[in-house]
Amino acid sequence: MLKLSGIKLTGIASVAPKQILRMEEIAGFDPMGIDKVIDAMGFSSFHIADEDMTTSDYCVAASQRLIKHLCVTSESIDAIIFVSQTPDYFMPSTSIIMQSRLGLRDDVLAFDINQGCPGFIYGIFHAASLIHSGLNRVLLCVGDTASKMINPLDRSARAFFGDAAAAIMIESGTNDFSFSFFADSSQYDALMIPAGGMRKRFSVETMTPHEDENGNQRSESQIHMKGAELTSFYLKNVAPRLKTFLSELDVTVDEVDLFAMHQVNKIILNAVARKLKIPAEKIPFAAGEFGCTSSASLPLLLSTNYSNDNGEGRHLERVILCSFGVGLSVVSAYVSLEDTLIMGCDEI
Amino acid sequence: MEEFLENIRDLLDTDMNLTGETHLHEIEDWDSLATVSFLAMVNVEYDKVLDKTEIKRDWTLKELYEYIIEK
Repeated sequence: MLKLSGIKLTGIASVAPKQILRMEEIAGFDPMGIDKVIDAMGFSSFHIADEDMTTSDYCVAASQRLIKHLCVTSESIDAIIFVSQTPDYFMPSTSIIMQSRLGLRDDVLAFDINQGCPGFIYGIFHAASLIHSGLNRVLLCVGDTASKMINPLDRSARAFFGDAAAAIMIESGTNDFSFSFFADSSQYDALMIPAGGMRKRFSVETMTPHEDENGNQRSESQIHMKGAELTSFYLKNVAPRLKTFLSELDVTVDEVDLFAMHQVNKIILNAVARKLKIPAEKIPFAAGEFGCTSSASLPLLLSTNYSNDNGEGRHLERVILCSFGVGLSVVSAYVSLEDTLIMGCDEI
Repeated sequence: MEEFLENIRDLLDTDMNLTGETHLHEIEDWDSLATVSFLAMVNVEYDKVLDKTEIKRDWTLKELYEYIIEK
């Protein structure tokens, strides 16, 4: 367990694309089986980015909204971190481009982190580390537009991922944040895009879709997801890692106000809740309209269910954040959101 | 064993006749969603985690139940 002191998470703003894809619109689904899939997984629709919008466009919109409502100036921000697996370009870093778009100082620290589902917690850790190193205010941007990397004829991924982004402000303060990291890279190919990097360069062959045993189509340049392998990994690791983390924190389930879990699907969340005896109201699944939104999943959950920008707030002093996925990995954090401005989700 | 069969009927939301001699992959409606639901059920009810290789074997439900209990 890692612990960083003197931190405050001052604000969260989430953004989702306006365009919606409903489950019944996804090609190749047996109409008779759709309700069963929706009931079991929990997802009924997905927000999909416009063709000309990138993850950073949504992050810029979320950041501008957050900066405005926190009543801070762009010039007061010391660093910007962009956490995503859908950057604008291979080079330069997307954060550098966002720096000028947001009017940040030219001496700001700007860098990208290549992370997916666990990216929100990775980002908080790095932002908190910078605060711990002496910076005063860090803007963290997270999110993905996975729809751009999914074959429309791949039901397994198309009926799972949605697009969204979020901006989070982290500043010097009085809270202690604790973190737990775990990864098992022996199963990295359970969730990956095989081609396009230096290990396997783009080619006509890697751009050509192939059909798998279940009738799904995808090329090696698109997302490959092995659902059964991921499920086994989550069942084997999420609840035990969380149990160990709670033990290291010396905190009981009863003492935690909220278990904000990666919104992977209802099946996994229900299993974790039952294994750790977490009451349903403390471990919400609320991504039915959004799908799994990668690193934006947790901020989106907070924005849709726990927003306090209308004056009403929930007691969120002791919050467990837990995310898991690409890596494969399980990461957790124990934070306070008691004085955090949590803005509702904006659709643009 | 009967409880195991009932758990499978529950996750498939079916009243079909399942016995210990029924082969897992011959069950009507057994698909990727059923596999994921089954893995979760085994984890919650029997505190075991199966992997895809184990699920893919040509089990009868009785063989699979005994394997899970012994694992």
